[in-house]
Amino acid sequence: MNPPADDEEPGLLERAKRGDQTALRSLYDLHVGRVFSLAYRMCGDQQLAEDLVQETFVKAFRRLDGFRGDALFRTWLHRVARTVVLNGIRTAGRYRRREVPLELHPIGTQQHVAPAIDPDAILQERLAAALDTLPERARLTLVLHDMEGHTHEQIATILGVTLGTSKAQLSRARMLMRRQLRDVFEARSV
Amino acid sequence: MNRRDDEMDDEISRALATFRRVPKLDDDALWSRIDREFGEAPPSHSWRMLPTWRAGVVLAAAASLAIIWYAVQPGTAPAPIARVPDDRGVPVPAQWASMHNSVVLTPYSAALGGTLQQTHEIITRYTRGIESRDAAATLLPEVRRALGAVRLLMDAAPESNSLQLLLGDLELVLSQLSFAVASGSPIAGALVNQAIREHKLLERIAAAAPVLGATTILLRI
Repeated sequence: MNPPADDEEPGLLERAKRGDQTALRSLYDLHVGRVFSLAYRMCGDQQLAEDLVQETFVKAFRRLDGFRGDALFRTWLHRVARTVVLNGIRTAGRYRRREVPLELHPIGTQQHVAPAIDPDAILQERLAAALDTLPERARLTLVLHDMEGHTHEQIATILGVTLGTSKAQLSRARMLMRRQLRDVFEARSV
Repeated sequence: MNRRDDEMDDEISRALATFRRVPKLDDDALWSRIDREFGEAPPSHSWRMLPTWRAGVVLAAAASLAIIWYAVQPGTAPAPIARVPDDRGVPVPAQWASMHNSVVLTPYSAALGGTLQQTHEIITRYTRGIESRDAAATLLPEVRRALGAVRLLMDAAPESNSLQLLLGDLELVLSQLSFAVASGSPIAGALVNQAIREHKLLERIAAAAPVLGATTILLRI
């Protein structure tokens, strides 16, 4: 989904602030794709991602009066989404940890990995596990940069951090991913 | 970083590009849920409906009345702040000590002040040098508690750019500090020291909370 042109939004926002249902729906249509993509890629669970999108838009619409146009609406909305997604994942993680201990399956240990399993499926599984173990800010930065295609300037604005912090978080995320996935890639290259 | 690391970064980026393909979303169904929940929102308080200048007049009048009321009250000595020894036996205000061990509903500014104070102490101790394993073992849980507190403050931060920048930098440095202390890696330690210097963290915390160590913290953010 292409981001809306900046000049599309002012009139729309004014109408949305007045409670115009059509304008609210238009804002939703313009931005739901990106918010859902971020939520889904952060949590990997469609139902949870939909719940997080719902909470993001309800919160954003309730706070619309406080949006003064200092930043683009989509940046502001991403900031709301960031808080909602991180809180949601934290809460879901707490429940998940109580229910099932997360076990990583080291590659090559035959008692854990059946030989018939597709190596790509193992990679996907290990990527998910590695991503889930990243510190949340580093994970968010990696998802925004490598999966959502944002620049460091955009990430810094969305996360409310400096450009250097965004770069440092990405570097840290990559270092931790390398550490977690080294055995997988070494096994694939043999 | 060596060539192999670069190659791995490329491979991970390529794998991530096709990872968790976003499923099709039922836009209309989700909109119905949002519309329903948004429609159930409690009506705004009447004061929020006032134009900005009228709200300003109302607030100014309320503030004036409060100042007049305060001025005519007979003077009383301020209540002493309860101080209890912390893990190291150093007396700290009871409010901050309780923040470590239980969930306390504390106003944001007080929680922020306590966390800044604690983080300032941690960074100061770290930059002076961790001489022994025991010292590192003592510091690590404090770093992790401070990191958790900073993350909670980030999520609830008001729209203050300087505050968000400071908390973001603290979060990054405390994460690195946690790794450096736990691993004892001199390279990680050097990176943390560099980050503390480059971000001018001690100076910025001191500027945000200029009366560190006193019984009251005056926040400038």
